[in-house]
Amino acid sequence: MAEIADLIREKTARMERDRRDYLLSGYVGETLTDAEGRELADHIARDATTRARLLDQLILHRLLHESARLPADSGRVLQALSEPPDTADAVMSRLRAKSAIGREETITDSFHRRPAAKASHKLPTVERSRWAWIAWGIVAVAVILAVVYIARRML
Amino acid sequence: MTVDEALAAVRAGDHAAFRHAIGACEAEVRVLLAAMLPDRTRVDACVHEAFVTAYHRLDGFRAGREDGKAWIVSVARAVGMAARRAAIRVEQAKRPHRAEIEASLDDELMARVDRGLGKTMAGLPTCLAQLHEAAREVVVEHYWRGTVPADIAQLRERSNAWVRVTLFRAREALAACLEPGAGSGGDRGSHPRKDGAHGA
Repeated sequence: MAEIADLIREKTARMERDRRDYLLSGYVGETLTDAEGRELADHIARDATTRARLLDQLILHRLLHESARLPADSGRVLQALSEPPDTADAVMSRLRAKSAIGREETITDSFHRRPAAKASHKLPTVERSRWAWIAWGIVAVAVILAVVYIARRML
Repeated sequence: MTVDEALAAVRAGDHAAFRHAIGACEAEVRVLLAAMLPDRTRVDACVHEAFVTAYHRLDGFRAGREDGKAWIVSVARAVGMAARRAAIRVEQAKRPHRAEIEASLDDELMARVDRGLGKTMAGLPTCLAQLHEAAREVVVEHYWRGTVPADIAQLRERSNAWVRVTLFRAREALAACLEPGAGSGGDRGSHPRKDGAHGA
């Protein structure tokens, strides 16, 4: 009797193992039905060994595929990077390259200079008023010269 | 040029030096993302995204205090994790059981990924060579030549189930072979097995 019980237990264990193998294989191959998927989810939640076996299967399945072995395509990545990242080092590097007055500009300098650079087509207020005075002076001298010239012709 | 030197050059404005960093890290980043992502068609785009993200986050790299390659891999891990979660959310609507199973594997999968999969990749050729001949042929046919199981079954005059079981047992044999101490330089386990496809 004991032998028969052992045989039944052994057969049951083998059937359960085969069923789990079927479910694991079906999960990786994406052939499981919803009901089978739920059955596997139950096994996974209860049994750490089944979970570890599924993980082995999945990782190997994913690493064996071509997507894990494709060659590097750095050119495509570089194409997507249109300009250097705006890191502090890069900003410093650009400032040093642009510096024409014999001293190293700092980021603070460039920060203070930035509003003026953005509105470079306009002149500062003090400079504007100086040029206005010069222009008005030229106009006034021209008017005086014209008046003198006309007066001489009339006399 | 090392990865650290390449990153320093990029930070100084040498845009093209990033090519060296990509060349040195691409294989590791690709393996990491391939293992993490449930959808293998996303791997290529995700590798691309990981490098672009690393480039734009370069100011966060602490030169001299952390390893450049490890930093790029950590950025790729974050990108991969976001893509993995997005894929699981999409799967939730279509096949909830797959989403549930994938989510339940998160911690253990990431623990394995963090231990590094380089040795697994390095040990694969040796372990493949140790497989039973029929199993090896089916693995090469499916994973290298991209033949679907139904076509392999037709070609070999076998059933679809035979092909699926052969692939399953081949992966089990490979996993056992790749375990540490199995002589292939793998990451986990005990002894090599050569039972791929036996009895399939």
